[in-house]
Amino acid sequence: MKKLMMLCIAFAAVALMGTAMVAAADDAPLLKGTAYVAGHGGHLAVINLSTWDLDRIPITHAGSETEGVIAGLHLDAAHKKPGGGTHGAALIGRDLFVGLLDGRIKKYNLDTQKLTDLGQVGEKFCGAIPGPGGKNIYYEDMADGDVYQFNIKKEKKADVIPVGKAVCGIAWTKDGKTAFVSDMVQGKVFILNWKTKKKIGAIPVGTFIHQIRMNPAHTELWVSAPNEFVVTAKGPVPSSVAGKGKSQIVIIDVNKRKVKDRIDLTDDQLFPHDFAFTPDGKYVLLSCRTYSDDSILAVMNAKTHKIVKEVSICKRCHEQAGVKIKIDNGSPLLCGIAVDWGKNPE
Amino acid sequence: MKKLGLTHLAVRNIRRKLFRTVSIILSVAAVSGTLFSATLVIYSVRRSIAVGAGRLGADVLVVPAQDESKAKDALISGRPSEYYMPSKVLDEVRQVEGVEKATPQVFIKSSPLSCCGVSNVLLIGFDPSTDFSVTPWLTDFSGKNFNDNDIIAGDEVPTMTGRTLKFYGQEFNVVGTLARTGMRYLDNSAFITLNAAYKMAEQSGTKALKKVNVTPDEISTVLVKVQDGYAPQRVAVKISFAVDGVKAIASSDVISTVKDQLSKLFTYLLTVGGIVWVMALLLIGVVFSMIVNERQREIGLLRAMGATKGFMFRLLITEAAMLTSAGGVLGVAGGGIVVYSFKNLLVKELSVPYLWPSPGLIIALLVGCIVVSTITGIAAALYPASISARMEPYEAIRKGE
Repeated sequence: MKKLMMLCIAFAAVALMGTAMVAAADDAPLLKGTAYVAGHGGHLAVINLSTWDLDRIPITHAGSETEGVIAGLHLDAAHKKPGGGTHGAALIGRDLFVGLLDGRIKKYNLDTQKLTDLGQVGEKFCGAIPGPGGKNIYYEDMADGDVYQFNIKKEKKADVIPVGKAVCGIAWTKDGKTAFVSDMVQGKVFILNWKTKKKIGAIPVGTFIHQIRMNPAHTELWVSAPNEFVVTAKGPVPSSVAGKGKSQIVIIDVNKRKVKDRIDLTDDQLFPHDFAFTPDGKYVLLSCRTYSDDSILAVMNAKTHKIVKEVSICKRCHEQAGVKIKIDNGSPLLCGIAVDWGKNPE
Repeated sequence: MKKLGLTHLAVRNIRRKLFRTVSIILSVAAVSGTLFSATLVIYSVRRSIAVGAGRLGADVLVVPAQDESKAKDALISGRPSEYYMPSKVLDEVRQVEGVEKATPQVFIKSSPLSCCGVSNVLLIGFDPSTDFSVTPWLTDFSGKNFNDNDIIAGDEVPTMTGRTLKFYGQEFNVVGTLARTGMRYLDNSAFITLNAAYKMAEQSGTKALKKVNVTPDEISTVLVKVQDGYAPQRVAVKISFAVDGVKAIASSDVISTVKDQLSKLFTYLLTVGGIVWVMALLLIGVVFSMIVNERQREIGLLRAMGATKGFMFRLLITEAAMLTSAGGVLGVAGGGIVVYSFKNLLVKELSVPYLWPSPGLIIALLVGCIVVSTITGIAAALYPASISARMEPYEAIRKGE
């Protein structure tokens, strides 16, 4: 009897330890890689995904998203010309091709640390996404609603695809025959026949969506729908602060081309703008605005949709450097994320 | 006894204070003059671009990459420019997705020496077998077959049909002249065949004082017509990408450049016009309030003699309408004279094309500006007029004494 009891206790202890280990694994995934997150400050935040250490790469001067034109409209009467700021970067080999809020593209080589201005390409870039085949990067323009095809080899604009009013993200089906493009102001994900570049449909999602990413299995399209602002008498207030609206991640079933889930992040005060799936598809990195004095990188379990880690990627650096944010109402804002999986920063 | 009519009284009142009358007329003239001249200039430039773009007939222009600004400048301001690229560009352009037709042109600036022909004209050599830009105009010239000795002259080239023009020792028969477009690129050009252009260049070494350095392996531009369903801007990007060393410009982007150039001027003029308009409105309002105060006794007497409240109201409004409509007429006349006199300076300084709008539009603008001026006067006088209409006869006479 005593032996049986001891056996049960031992079994329970092993089970408990196992559960604890699984839970611990879920709480803190062990990742290896480097994330580069573009921000309005004009620099990229560099995050070591193993140690969560933080660094930065200066690209351009700071600028606000509302400066210049969005969807053909001037939203900031005092700044009718586009400001600085980065909004997305595509990592090709050791080169980061960074799209700026003034429509220029800059290339930064991670080995030589050389920054090259590749010139004026569009008007105001949001996403910077490597395309199928790896020959081109696709920059989505928030000012004119076009998708700009940028050839990596020639480092030159190769095509301009008119899609919507203020487009932000692009993703493709596994066979590369169909593309999805998110339009911020129309709250739709447009479906394009990639051969003809013609729109063949649209998936209504909700207002104010941002970037989109396909999961590694190509079965789900994740759409960031922070629905950030509620317009009050005092002006635009973040929806979580105003207690209205919902910051969401909308998941689209790629085969059915329908919304299949909405993950509510309003209570977490997280406003995701871009995602990066781990290569195994188990976790998703979210670059999130908070509309406070920081923006963060969150890690979400792709299955349970639970946030398992949050790290500051603005305030940590700014505080140390004594930097006070003046643009975007004092809130450091970020957007596009590119990850070099398996390689930590040197 | 002669009856005192509304108009008669209003005219008498206006004549009484000459300085005041002139001041009001001049301030309203400043408003209507600014409005009229600004609108006239904008419409003229827009019409010129529309006519010129129609004449150009191309959706996209392909030029050497390093000469993009020169090409745009030539199109907008008409400054004759020479630039060349390899003729193989034409075949490469034809391969690009979205291109329906492509035709080459070669540009040669005529000799600056007036002894040797008409100076500073842009000679444009085109290929009649593939052309879609110049050929449609040929129907204007009785469908005559255009051969290598023929030339079509722009409106500003000093010649007429039936005469001959000599360039670099080569004589051409003028088979037609083009109607004015306002774009100097077209108005100050003469069109010959591509063969004639190359032949002229080849023989210029022996026939002319100055040699033309262009060979049949070179062209200046490729004009492109895009396929239905393709945006010219998109095809322009595709050409710039696919063909090395060239820049493709959508015609509509050239128009946008002109619009951008004009928008600052237009904003400035409208701001000045708006400030002057507000000042004129206030001035007229104040002046008519003073008039009502000044004329209290007169108003009282008129009311005592049987003038109705409506009559008194209409009297002041009539005076305001007469003054401001006179100001309006003076303003549009002045604005028109200024624009007409300084048109060439304006075109030179702003580097924009210019073509007067149609007579119908000019008349509509004239009438519109005068109506706006009159409405301004009436609006400014409404309040003083209502005060004058409300005055009680006895009270008005007593206060006015």
